Amino acid sequence: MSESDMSVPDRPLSPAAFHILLALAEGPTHGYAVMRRVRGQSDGRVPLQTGSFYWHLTRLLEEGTVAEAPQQPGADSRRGSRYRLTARGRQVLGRELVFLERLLVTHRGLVLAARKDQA
Amino acid sequence: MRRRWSERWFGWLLRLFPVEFRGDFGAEMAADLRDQEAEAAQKGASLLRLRARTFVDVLRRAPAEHLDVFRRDAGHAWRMFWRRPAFALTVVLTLAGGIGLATAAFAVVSGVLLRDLPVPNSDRIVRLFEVESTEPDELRPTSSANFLEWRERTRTIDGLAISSPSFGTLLSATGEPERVTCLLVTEQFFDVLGVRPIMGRAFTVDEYREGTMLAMAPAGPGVVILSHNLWRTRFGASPDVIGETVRLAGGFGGGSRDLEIVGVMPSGVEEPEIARASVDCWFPGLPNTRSRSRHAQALGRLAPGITAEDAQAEFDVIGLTLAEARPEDNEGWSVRVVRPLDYFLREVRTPLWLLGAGAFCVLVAGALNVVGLLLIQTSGRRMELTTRMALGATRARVTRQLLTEGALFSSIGGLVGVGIAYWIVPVLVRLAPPSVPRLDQVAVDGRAVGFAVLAAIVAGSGSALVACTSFLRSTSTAARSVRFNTRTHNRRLRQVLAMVQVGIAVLLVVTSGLLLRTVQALGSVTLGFDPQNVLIVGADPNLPSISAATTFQRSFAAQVRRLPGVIAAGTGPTPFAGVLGTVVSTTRGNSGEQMEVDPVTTGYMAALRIRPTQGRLFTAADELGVTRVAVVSDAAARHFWPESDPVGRSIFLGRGEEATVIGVAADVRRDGLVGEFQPVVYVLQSQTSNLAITTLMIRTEGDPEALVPSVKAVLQQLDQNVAVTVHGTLQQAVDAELAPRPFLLRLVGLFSVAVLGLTMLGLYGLLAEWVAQRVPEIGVRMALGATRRRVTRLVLSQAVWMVGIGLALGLGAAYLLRDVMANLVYGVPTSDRVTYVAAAAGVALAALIACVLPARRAASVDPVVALREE
Repeated sequence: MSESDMSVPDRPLSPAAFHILLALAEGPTHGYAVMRRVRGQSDGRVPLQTGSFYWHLTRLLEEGTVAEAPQQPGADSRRGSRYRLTARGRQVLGRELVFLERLLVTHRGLVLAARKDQA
Repeated sequence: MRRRWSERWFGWLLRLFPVEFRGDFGAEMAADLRDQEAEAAQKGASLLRLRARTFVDVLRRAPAEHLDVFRRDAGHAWRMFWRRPAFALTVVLTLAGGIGLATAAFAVVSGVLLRDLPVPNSDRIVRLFEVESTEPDELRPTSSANFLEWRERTRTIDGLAISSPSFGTLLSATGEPERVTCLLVTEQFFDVLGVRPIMGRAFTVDEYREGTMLAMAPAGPGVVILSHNLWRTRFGASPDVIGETVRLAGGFGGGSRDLEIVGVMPSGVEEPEIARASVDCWFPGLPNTRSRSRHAQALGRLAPGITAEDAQAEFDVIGLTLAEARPEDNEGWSVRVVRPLDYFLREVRTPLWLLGAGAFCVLVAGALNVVGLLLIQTSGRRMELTTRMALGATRARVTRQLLTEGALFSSIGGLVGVGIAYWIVPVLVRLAPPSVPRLDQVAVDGRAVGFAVLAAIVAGSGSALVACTSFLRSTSTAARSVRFNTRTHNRRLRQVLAMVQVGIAVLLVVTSGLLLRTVQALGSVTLGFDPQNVLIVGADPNLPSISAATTFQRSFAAQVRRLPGVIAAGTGPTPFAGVLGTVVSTTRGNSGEQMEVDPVTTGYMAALRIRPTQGRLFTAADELGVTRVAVVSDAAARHFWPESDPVGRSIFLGRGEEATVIGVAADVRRDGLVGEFQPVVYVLQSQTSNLAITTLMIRTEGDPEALVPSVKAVLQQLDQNVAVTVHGTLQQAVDAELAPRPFLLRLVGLFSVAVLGLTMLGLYGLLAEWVAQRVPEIGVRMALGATRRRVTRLVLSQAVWMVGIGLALGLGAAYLLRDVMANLVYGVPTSDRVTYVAAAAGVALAALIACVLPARRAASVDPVVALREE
C-alpha cells in the first residue's frame, strides 16, 4: 500500500502500534530507540521486546503508516534502518488522539474523580 | 567470549522467524538486543531476565509471522488460481475425484472391516471351531462333550462358553406375533464378552444348572434376558420390564410357555459378530456330556499375556489328545482358534480390500496426472519464478510459494472430495450386495474425513513437492550448463509417471477382465433348480411336537396349493440358507459320515423343479405309506454306490433310521454357487422325527410376490399365533448369492475406465507438448523429404516404449498379485492368458488413441510455416 493511498482503516490501534506511532511522532529514529521511547512514554506499561517490536513494525510498514527513513550521514552504520511516520501514519495517530481526547472530555467527571482518588 | 555466545544464542532463536523477516530485521534485532543488554548491564539489571523475556517474546511472535507469510502466499496462490482457471479446475477436479472415490471406499472398508467388536476388550475374545481334515477350510461348530473337555484342559483361555441358536415366536396381547432369534448360552458366556445387564441381573448358577443345550429338549427354567434391541422395539424401552412375563412359542422346548424377564443386555451384545445372526434374547444352558453332535458355537477369552497363536498351539495338542481319547468322534478333527471378526468378515474381506485398492489406484493415477500438470505449469512459469529468484527470493521462498499453491489445490480438492464421498457412500451402500454385513455403520465419519485430509495432503502437496523439486533441480543444472533444458528433465519424470499410469491401468483392466469372466461363468452355473416364480415363506407353528408341526405344515401347504395361480408348494430347505450335517451310512451300525439330510414334503421338488435322474421322486402315497423312503442326490448316489444302481438300496440316517432309496434327484446348489455339489439325502418330513423345516416354497404362474397377501390370509385362518416371514423369491436368493461379483465388477470396471481415461489424458498431454516443442525440427525433417507417415511414426515411437514398459509393469504386477483374486474368480484361472492379453491389447489401443491426435498434429506441420517461425 502506498503513502498516497489515503483511505485509513477505521479500527482502533493496538496499544503497541499506538505507542510506536507516538514514539515516531517525535522524529525518525532506529528500532532500539523506538522501543526505549515506548517504554518511557507508557511508564513501562507497554513492555516491547525485540521480536514483538519488529512484528508490529512489519504490519505498520505494510499498512503504510511507517516507512524507512533515509540514513543519516555519519550515523552508526552498525545500527539498522531508521523509521519515520508517514503522512498516513500521522493521520491515523491523529485520529486516535482525537478519539482519546473526546473520551476525556465526555468523561470529565470520571477523570476528576479518579484524580481525586489517586491524590 | 561471552558476548559471542549470547549472539549465537539469539541467532539460533531468530531462525524461528520466516526467512524474509530474518533478512529484513535479523541484524537490527541482534543489534537492538546488544544495546538492551549493554543498558541492562549498566543499570545492574538482570541479564537473565531480559533474555528470558526476549526468548518468550520470539516464541510468541514467530508463529504469527509464519502465518502471515502463509496468508500472503495463499493470496498469491489464489490469484494464480484464477489467472489459469482451466488448469486450476482440472487439477482440483482430478484431485477431488480421486480423493472422493478413495474416501468413499475407505468409509466402506473402515465401517465394515476396521471396526472392533461391540463389546469391551474385544481383542481378547476368540472363537473356537472344529475342522475335519478332509475339508480344512470349513470351520464347524463343536459338541458339548468336546467343549467340556476343552474347558477342563485349557490353560491359555480364561473363560470358555458355548452357545446354540434357535428361533421362537414372541406372543403378546399387543402387536403381531414376532419371530425372534434365541441363544442358549452356558455359564461364562457373558463373562467372556465382559458384559453385564444394564437392567436386572444375569442368570444365576442354579438357572444355568437347570438349563439344557438342546433346542428340542423340555423346558428349562422359565427365565430370559432381552437384547437391547428387542427391549427397545418390543417393550418401548420400558424400565419396568424386569419381572414381567412374556409368552414365547418354540425357541427351546417346543410349545409355548411363560418366561420371566430377568435382565436386559446393553446394545452390542446382540450383534451377529459374536454368535450368529442378531440375537433377540438369551436362555441359560447346561452343556451335556453325552451330546456329541457338533452344534455349539464356542467362545473364549484369552488369558492375560496370551496371544491367539499361543492358544492355537495349545489347542493343536488338545485336539490330538481328544482324537486319541475318543477316536469315534474326533478322529481326523482338529481345533481352530479364530478371531471373531476374522470369521465374521471372511467372505467380505477380500472384495472390500479390492474395492479400496481399486479406488486407491484411481487416486494415485489422478495424482500422477496432477504431478504432470504441475510440471508443465512450473516450466511455463519458469520466467516468473526465475525472475523472482534473480530478485533475491531464496530457494526456500520459492519452494514455499509452490507448496502453498499445492496446499491450496489439495485443500480445495480435499473439500470437494469429501463432498463427493458424502454423495458416493450412500450409492455404494445401496449397490452393495446384501451379504455385506455392518453396512448400516458405513458413513463419512471422522475417520473417513481424516483419511480424506491425509489423502489431500499427500496427493496435493506431494505432487507439488515433486514438481517443485524437479523445477529447482533444473534451475541449478541450467545455471551450470546453458544447453540443459528444463523440459528435458521434466519430461523424463513425466515419462516415468505415464508408465506407472499405464501399469495401474493394466492391473485394473486385468482385474475387471477376470471378474467379467467370473460373472459370465456364474451366469451359466447349473443351479439344479429353477429359481423363477418361486415365493419363499417361513411359518413357525411352534407346536409341541414335530409330528404336530408336520401336520400343520401339511395342511398349510395343501391350502396354499389350492390358491389360484399356485402350481406347486412344499416345505424344504432354502438353497444357500446354510447346511446341517447328519450322520448317514449305507450299513447299519457303521459310524457313517456327515451329510446333508433334508426333510421335505411332496410338493418341494415340484416347486423347485428338481429333476429325477433315476427312479422316482416322492408321491402323496409315500406320505401315507409305512416304509421309510429316501431320494438321494446324484452326488450322494455317486458317493455311496459309484458302480451300481442306488434305487432299492437301504440307507441309515442319524441314530439308525433305515430308509429305502426310491430315486435319484439332480444335484442342487445348496451352499454357494461354486465348488463341488454337496451330496444330499431327501427324506419325507412326515417320516422323520428329529428335524422340522418350516419354510414353504411356492411356485406360481405369475409374479410370486403378488401372492403374499393370500398366503398370509391362509395362515391367519389356520392359526393366529403363527409368525409369518416372507423371505422373498428364490430368484432374489440366487441374486443375493451372485451379487458380490457383479457389484465388484461394476466398481472395478468403473475404476478401470477412470484410470484409463486419466492415463490417456496424461499420454496425450505429454506427446502434445513434445510435438509442440519440435515443430521446427519436424519442419526441417519434412523439408528434407520426410513423409507424413514417417513423422507420424516418429511421434508414435516416442509413446511405444513408455506404453510397452507400462504394460509389462502392469501385467507383472497382476501376475504377482493373482493370489489375492483366487477366492473371487471362478471358472477361469487367475493367470488366464486370454484375459491378460486382452487387457494389454485394450490398454495399448487406448494409449494409441491418445497418441493419434498429437501424431496427426505433427504430420500436419507445414514445413514452410515452421521454418519461417524458426
